[in-house]
Formats: sequence, C-alpha cells, structure tokens
Amino acid sequence: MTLLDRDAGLVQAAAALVSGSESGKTPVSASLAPINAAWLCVVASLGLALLGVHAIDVAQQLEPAGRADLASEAARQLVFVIIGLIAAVLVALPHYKIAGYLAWPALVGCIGLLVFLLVPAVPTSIVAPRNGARAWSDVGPIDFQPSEVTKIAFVLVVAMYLRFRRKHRTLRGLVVPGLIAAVPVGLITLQPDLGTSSLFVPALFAMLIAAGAKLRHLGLIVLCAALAAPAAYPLLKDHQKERLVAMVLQFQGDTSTAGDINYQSLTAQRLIGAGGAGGHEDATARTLIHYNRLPERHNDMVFAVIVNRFGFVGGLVVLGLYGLWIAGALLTAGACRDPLGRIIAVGLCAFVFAQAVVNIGMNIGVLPIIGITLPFVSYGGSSMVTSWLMTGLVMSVALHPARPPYRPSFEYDDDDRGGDGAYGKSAGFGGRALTRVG
Amino acid sequence: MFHRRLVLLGGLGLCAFSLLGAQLANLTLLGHDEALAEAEVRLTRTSWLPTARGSILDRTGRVLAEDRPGYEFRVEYRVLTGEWAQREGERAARRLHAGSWGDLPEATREAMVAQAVRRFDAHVNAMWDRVAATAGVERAEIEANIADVVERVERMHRRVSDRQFEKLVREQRATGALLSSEEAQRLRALADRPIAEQRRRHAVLSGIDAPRAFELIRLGERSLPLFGPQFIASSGGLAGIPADNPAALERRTPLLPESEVAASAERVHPFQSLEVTLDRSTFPRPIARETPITLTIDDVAMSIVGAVREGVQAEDTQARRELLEARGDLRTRALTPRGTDRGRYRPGDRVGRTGIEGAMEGDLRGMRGTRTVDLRTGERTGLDPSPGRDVRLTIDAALQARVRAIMDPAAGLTTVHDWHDNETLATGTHLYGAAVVLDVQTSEILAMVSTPTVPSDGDWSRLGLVTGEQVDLFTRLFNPQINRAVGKPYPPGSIAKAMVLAGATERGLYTPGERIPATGHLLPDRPDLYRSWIYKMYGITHADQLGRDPDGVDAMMVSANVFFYTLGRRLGPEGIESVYREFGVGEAPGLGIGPEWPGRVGTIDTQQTLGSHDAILMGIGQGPVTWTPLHAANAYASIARGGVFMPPTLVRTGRAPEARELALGSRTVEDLLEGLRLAVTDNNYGTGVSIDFEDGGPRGEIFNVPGVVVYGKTGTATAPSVLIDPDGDGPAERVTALSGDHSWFVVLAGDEGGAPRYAVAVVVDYAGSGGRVSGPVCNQILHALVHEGYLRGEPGDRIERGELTERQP
Repeated sequence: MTLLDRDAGLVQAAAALVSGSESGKTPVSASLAPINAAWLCVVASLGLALLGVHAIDVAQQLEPAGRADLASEAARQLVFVIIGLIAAVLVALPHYKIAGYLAWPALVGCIGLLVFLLVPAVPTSIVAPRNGARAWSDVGPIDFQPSEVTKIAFVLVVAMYLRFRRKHRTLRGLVVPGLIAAVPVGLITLQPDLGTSSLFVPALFAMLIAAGAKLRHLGLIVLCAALAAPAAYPLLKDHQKERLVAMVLQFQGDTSTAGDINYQSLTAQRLIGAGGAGGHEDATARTLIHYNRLPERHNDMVFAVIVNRFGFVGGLVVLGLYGLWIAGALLTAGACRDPLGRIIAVGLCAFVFAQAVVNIGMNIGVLPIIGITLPFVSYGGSSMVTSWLMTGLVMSVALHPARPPYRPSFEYDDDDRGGDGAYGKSAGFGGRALTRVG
Repeated sequence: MFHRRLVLLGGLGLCAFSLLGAQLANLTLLGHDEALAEAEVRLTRTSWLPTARGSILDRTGRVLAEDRPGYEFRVEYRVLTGEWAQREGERAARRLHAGSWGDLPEATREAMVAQAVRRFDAHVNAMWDRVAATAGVERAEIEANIADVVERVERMHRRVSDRQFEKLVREQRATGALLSSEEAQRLRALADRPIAEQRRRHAVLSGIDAPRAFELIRLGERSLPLFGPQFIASSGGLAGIPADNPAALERRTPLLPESEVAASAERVHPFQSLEVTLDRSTFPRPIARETPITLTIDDVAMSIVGAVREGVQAEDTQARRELLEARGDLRTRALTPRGTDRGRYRPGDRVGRTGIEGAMEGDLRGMRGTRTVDLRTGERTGLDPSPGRDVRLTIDAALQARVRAIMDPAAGLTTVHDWHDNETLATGTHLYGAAVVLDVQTSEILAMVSTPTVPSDGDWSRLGLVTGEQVDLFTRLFNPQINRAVGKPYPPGSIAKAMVLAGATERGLYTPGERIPATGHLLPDRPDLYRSWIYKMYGITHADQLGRDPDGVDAMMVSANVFFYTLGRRLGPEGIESVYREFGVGEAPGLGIGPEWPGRVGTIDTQQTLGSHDAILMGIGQGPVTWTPLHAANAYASIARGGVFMPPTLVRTGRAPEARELALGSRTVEDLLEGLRLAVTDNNYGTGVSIDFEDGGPRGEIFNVPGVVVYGKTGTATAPSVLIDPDGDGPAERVTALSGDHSWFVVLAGDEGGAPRYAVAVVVDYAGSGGRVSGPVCNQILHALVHEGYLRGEPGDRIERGELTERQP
C-alpha cells in the first residue's frame, strides 16, 4: 500500500508537473489538448531537418549518390535531429509555466557563460575561436554555443516580465524590456557574433507588439535607431564594415569583388541561379557545389545547396515549411489564453522567422553575410537542439491550455490610440476567447 | 487586440517571405542560364604554358636577336635532397597497409618503409634519366647542377641558421638567464628551421629549347603507379606482405614529381659584336695599305633590332588590345575558345621597347599554351604554346657590319685628311655620317648605318670619351641617339639635280637634248648670285669647259648649276615642290624603328610662302628643302627602276610594297643614267671620277671596283652650323662648333652589262667635298657589296663568302 501510495504520489507529482497544477487534482488526460496547431510546427521541423540532412550530405560528399553511407556530417546531423526530438518531447510535456519559473536563473546562467567565453584567460582548449568569434565552448563530445540557448531564456524572461504588466504601453515602460535585451545582445556582439545578436531585436519587438505596446512608440524607436545607425558604423569591426561595403558593391552590380569580399555571397547566388526551376540530379548538384567551392556550404550557406539541388521549387518548399512553423506558432499563440504562453509562442516564432529570413536573405544576396544558421537545416548540434527546444516549447504551450476562469491578457480596446484603454472585447480565434470583462 | 496584433505580425512575415521568394525567383528563373554557365566554368581548371618570343633574323637568316636559353626545368628542393622520397616512402608504406599497419611488428614496418623509400628513390633517379634524354643533355650535367643547388642552399641555410642562433642566444643572455645545454639545443633547433630556399623549386637545367621544353611539359603530365602490378610481380609486395589497400596500389605518381618547366628566356644577340677585316689596298692612295685592317664592330644593327624590357606597363596592355582589334589574323591565333588572349601581358613579361622589337611586337610575341583539366574526369584538353613569329629583316648583318667598319674613323676614310680640303675641321678630326644600301628591284634596305651610335652597354670609352662632360659635349654635338640615315634632315645639295632634271622633263619644261646656255651666273647682271661652281672657283663657264652649252647629260656630268637654276626657275615654287614630293620628300618611310625625318619642302615658318628665289635654289638642292640618305638612295633607285617609286622596307613580309609610277619617259631615264655614268667615269669632265691628292702624284680614281658599272652624283651641300654653348649657362655665348658643307655621294651600281641593282647613299657631316670624302666611302661600300656576293657573284655564295667570325660576348 505504501508502495502503491508512493506510486500514486509519483503519478500525481508527474501529473502536476505536466498540468502545471499544484493541486494535482485534475487528471492529466483531462487537462491536455492533444489536437492543436503546434503539430504544424512539429511537421515543419521534421521536414526541414530531414531536408537539411540530405543537403549536408550533398554539400559534403562529391561521391555520386547510391553510396549508402551518409557523409559524416550528415550522419552526425541525423543524431542531432534525434537528440533534438527527444529534447523537444522533454520540454513539451511539462507545463511551460515551469520553464517560465526557470527563466531568470537560466538567463543569468547563460549570461554567465557568455561572460566566461569572453574572458581572455580561458584556455583555447575550451573556448577555441572559430572564424574569429569566441562563441563556442568545447565541452564533451559536442561543442556548445551558449548564445543559442540564451535565445530561449531571453524569450522566457521577457514573457515572464510582460505577462501581467501594462507598463510597456508607455514609452518609459519599454526601458526594462530593452535592458533585458541589451545585456545578452551586448555580450554576443562582443564575441563578436553580430548575426545572432541581431535576432534579439526583432524578437523583442514582436513580443512587445503582441503584448500590446504602442506601435508609435516602437516606430519612434526604430526611427531613432535608423538615424543613429550611421554613427555606429565606425564602431564596427573591419570585417563587418567590409561586408557592408561588399553588400553595397553587389547592389551596384560590381562583380569585381567576386574573388574576395563577395566571394561567398556571389558563389551562393551563382549556385542558386544554377539550380533553375527544378534543380539538378543528385550527382550533378554535388559536382557543381563541390567545384564551385562554396564556403560554409553545410552550414550557413546550406540554403544555396538546397536550391541548387531542388531548384526554385525546393526553395519555395523551404519557405513554405518555415511558413508552416510560423503559422503553427502564431495559431498556438492565438489559441492560448494565458499571457505567458502567448508571449512565449510569439517570441519563439519571431526568433525562428528572423533567423530564417536573415539566413535566406544572405544566401540570395539581399543581406550581408553574417554568420547565422538556418534553423533545423544548418549543420550543428547547438542550433539543431535549440530549434527543437523551441518547437517543444510551442507544443507545451499548445498542450496546456489555460483553464477558466480566463484572465484576459493584452486585450486593449485600442491598438494605438492614446490612453491606457480598458480590457475589452477580444475576438478570439475559433470563438473560444469571447470573454468580456468590465 | 492581441489577435489583430498576431495578424499584423503574420502579415509582416508574409511580406518578408514574398520578398525572399521574389528574389529567389529572380535568381533561379531569370538568371538561371548565366549562373549555370558560370558555375560550370568552375568544373574545369585552366593553366597557362610558357611560350617564346620570335627571333629577328637578317635577310640571309642570321639570328640578330633570339630568346635563349628558352626554358628551365625546376624541381622542388625536397626532391633534390631525397627528403621527398623519404616522406613519400613512409606515407606509401602506411597507406598500402592501412588495415594492418598498427598490428605489424616495428621491424617489419621499418623494412617496408625502407623498401618504399628505395622505390621512390629509384623513381627520382629515373626522372633524371628521363629529363636528360628529353632535354638532350648528359645525366652528369644535371647531377652537377643539382649538387650546385644543394651546396648553395645548404650554405645559405647554415649562414641564416647560425645568425639566427646567435641572435636567440643574445636575447636569452639579455634576460640574465644562464644557457643550459638543453636550452642551447632548443634554440639550435629553433634556429635550424628551413629557409624559403628549401621550400621552393630550383632550376636543375636551363637553356632548354622550345620543342624539348614542350616535350618535358607533356612528360610531366604523365604518371604511373609505383606500386602497381609490375612492382607486386617483382617483389610480392613490401617486405613480402601483400598490400591490403587496393586504392593505394592504384595511386599514381607523376613521372616528374614536384617539378615544372618555366620560361626563363633572355634575349641574346649573336651578331651584336663582329670582327670585320677591310682590304685597304683599294683605299685612296694616301691611306691605302697593303695590310688589311681588322676592326671590332659593336652593336651591329642594334639600333635597328632594338631592345626589350622586362615589366609590363598599362600602355602595353592597351596597345595589345588595339592590335587585336586591328588584326584579324592575329586575333584568330591568339584567342582561346573562351575568348582569352593567349598573348596577353602578365606581370614580368618582356615587351619590345625600341627598334624592330617594339615595332613588330605583335608578331614577335608568343602565345601561351593552355591546359584545361576537367575536374570531374581529369581529362586534359588545350592548346600547345605557339612561339612568336620570326621577323626577317631586309638587312644583311655582314654587309651592315662591313659598312659600319668602312664608316668607322679608325678605318681612315672618315677622318679629315689634308687632301679633303676641309676648310673648317682640322686634319685628323673624326667625321660622322650615314650610309644606306638599297636593293633597286625591291626597295629593301640591305644596310643602314649611322655613326656615331650610343653604346648599348653604356661604355663610351670605346669612342675615347672618359668623363661625363666629354660624353655630354659629344652627345650635344653629334646626337648619337639619332639614326642619321632616316632621322636627320640634310639639305640634298647637287645630288638632287637628277630629280630636278627628271621632274622638269616629265612636266615638259625641259626637252631632252635641249642645250641651256652655260653662263657663269644665272642673272646676267648679278655675277655674285646663283653662280656656277666652276665660275666661282676658276672664273670660267661650263661652255668654256665643254666647248658647248650643256644638255641634260652634260649638265649631270659636270653638275652645271646654272642649268639647274634655270630648271628650278622654269618649274617655279609649286612645280619644284611637287618634284621633290614625287621622289618621297615629305613621306616618312614608316620603318617603325625610331624617329624619322619625313623630309620637308618649305621653310619651318609655314606663313612664308615659297618664292622664285627658293625655286631657283632648290634647282640645285639648296634652299628650303631637306631629306635623308634613305630618301636620296630611294630617289635614285626610283630612277634606276625606270621611274617607279616604291617605299623602302626594313622587314621582309613577302608582300610587294605599293609602287607609284612617276611617268618618266624612257629617254629621260636613259639620259639621266648616262649623265650619272659620265659623272663618275668621264675622266675629262666628270665631277666624281678622281681626286687630286695634292701630293704630286697622279689623280686617284674614286671608283676602282672591277666588273661593276657605277652611276653616281656628288653633292656638296651647304649645311647650317652647329652652335653650342660650351659652359652651358645661356644662349648668349654660343660658339660655332661645326660648320661647312655636308659631303654627299649617291651611286647606282650593277654588274657590267646589266642594269643597276643597288643604290648607295652616303653623307658625311661637315666633311666638305662630296667626291673627296663620301666618294671613297661609296667605293668601299661597292667593294663590300662584291665581298658579300651582291655584286659580281651568285646570290647563293653570299653567306659562305662572308669572312665574319662571331665574337662571343
């Protein structure tokens, strides 16, 4: 009996964890919503990841298809996918509220790691600069990139901060979220990894927009930033300036830089163009990619590999899968009635979206080359696991719907007019959020 | 509101994706063909193969300038020391037994490595045999070169390493620490690091000619499996253990590992310096000797051949582009299938700078070969290099050297002698000038000499000039950088009388046979103006001399000034100008070897129009008219051709030059030739027959070449003085350095009983009388033409008869 009791206690404890209910009275099955929009994210994640494994194999192996073995990077990537999937399940099952409670310690830990990376005294056996950036720590068999996990911690912290507040609807109220973003952005910029740090700003903006911040405040900030940007140019490192110059030259149609600063970008565009509408056969694509010597082709430039292999159609499929993921995350946010879940879904969605846009943009030559991976597709454990953790968190939000009575969140009756407004009508999705208060 | 915000975010996302999709469509759908073509280009790799510059030959095929030695065979230093074989052997042994290497006993592994190293050593050994056989040299030569290279590099390494070690020790001592033997060893090892010379390729064979070099290049593209079936059959594998890695057995090693064939050509001039022996027995009596004189002639034809420079300038690239645009034939040969110019300039290339090297750069320049390797299949395609085209000059180097010797003051003909009656220069003064020998039939230039010349090695002491001031003064006085044969304006003097007579007859202003009264001066009331030379010197007229008024033939024979003043007056300014122009004055020959004087009728001041005074003076080749020895020779050649003007040429292109008919009647030509013949043969009246040496002896014949018919005309042309400022501090104190008359002689010569075949023009600056100075020079040039087989001989004898010995520089 004690044993049974103990078992019952364990089950209850687990149920409490999954349901997020301290009381543990509600059965797990009753509180979960297994049919939800987050499955779109799962489908998209899987599709992108498998496409990525194939693309990495194409990028790394010249040998014609038909050989059973995957390239070693592709095989490792497959392992990362499986690890990522497991991680996603582990994150999806417990209530996201728990993740929320862990957010602040996690962010502090991440910041600690980021500072650790920057300490010059740390031996290069642990922090080996890659491409000039101190962004990886070599721990165990898998190198670990703290900035990846920082993204999730950041989303959780902002979500926790915003969930019951309305201060962000004033200009001054934007200061605290800004400061929360400024610390990791600053540290990651110092690595220097301008690519990753640049993702935090759109993510923060997306979360603020979703949380009802006034658009004119945000617009004002964007305007000020745009005006101040030229002043920041001298602060950039030489290679960063060079990339901006390269970008400008490219827009001017100057191809003289194809051998140096624009080599990577122009090679990627050439391979994308060579893909045509329907792409090339496996062997042809491998040959073209190999001898065109595209740098980082299994990594940042993997999109070029996919388009070369599968053409315009392949590129659209990739865009479509990201669209699916984003739609899944936004629908999950829309269906969620809990402010924390809403902001988490929107924040993660913004990260995936921004990262995909920046990466594809630099592949097709509309954005400068900044080292940034294509989520789910590019080679790399940290990136893959982080991406799957995001999918898992969105799934967690979808699996754990808030229970009535609903407390309306971010439902202001004006979008951007003066005054605080009152909680008002909410035209929810599927008629589920038709709560009227006051 | 939250959901509206979500829609807003979703909308923003959709916009961004649409933009990405649009650019993606732009690249893949619109830019597809171009991008694919560009991407496919990278599936091949093209490398360039060296080539050689064409040679410059004289008309008989003597090489005046060529690329030699052509190519070097360079090999990585590691191969020379055996280090390469050692390392490759170790690798091969490990590779062959990739599966079991770790399990093999140490001794077996060592035996295997030693065996594999021996295999590579033998391969390197075979490489030297192959290279020696292909390059056509003794194996010992290669080995000696290798020993030299290794010795030199080792020495260099020791020196660098010692210096480095000392520096390290000094630094160590400076820290105050004691130097333990262990530490010393560490520093030694640090200092012993290989130097750059040990990491690059060294020439083990140079001076390889183009065909052999290309053979070596082809050999270098081949490879063989060192541990293939043959090796297995003979040895059963390394240390008797069969290999367990089939891929390693098939691995091929190049026949000539770590090596390359590189162009290293230098431009050499085999006939640059020649010894010429002159027979002085035919010289004018006072300087005739029974013993011949041997002179060393430097820089033979160098001012014609010109020079190359290393290093490409922007204008070279531009010139090349323009050349390809202009010449379709060259373009077809030069462009690769992908449209790259195989002859385009790359840094360090040699470029023709002056002379024919510069003028014929497009032809002389070679085209590189290409090797395109398909990276997928390893298949090689491409074009073999094609050496530049040879340029064959019309110059005969032996004749050129001989004429140079004749014009050399050391030979005695171009120094002032008492019997020259030179009024301005002291006896013994060196005289400079120019000579041109032209083939009448083709207008090809056989020899073109100008003295003095700038020594190509900068050694002025050969000219007796030691100090910088001497060189400076000499340069200002004599302008050695100018090719006098084509680049210096000379007043024609009396030699132009033939042209004036031809022109006046052609225009109907003179009828053959007409006798013009020979007064002492043209204007009856002005005995001080337009005088006849015989009146000026002896107070008589040609009528007194001849017993008749001269007709055209007589006038040519006695050089009757009044006769030609009269023709000048009849022709008038415009008429006489057109006569000179007909004979080429005003046309630069366009030889391309440097500055040319086109010839000029009229004053420098273009405002001043020619008057009848000018026309009269130009009747005797004075007044406002200038030309060059080349003009003179070609004008006479045009008469010898029966009135056909052809521009002179310096390069044999196989194309006939464009001829121009001068419409001279046959009677005119006959009269002219007769007058010219009598001028140099009529003992009584000819102006260019003999010289009074004023030594009490008989007059000496100017021309003494048996079996050769000579037609000629003397000219003594009043020349502008050369004023210099000796201390160089302003124009006020300028003094006359050179003044007097230029000495001209132009002859046509042919074998007895035949037509004139060669035209020779000689001018000697400020030498005075044409007959006394230029006449004997002309005579010796005719001897030279005989000597070289041009006159009185079969053309085939020419080269054999030349007694030229090549002097090694």
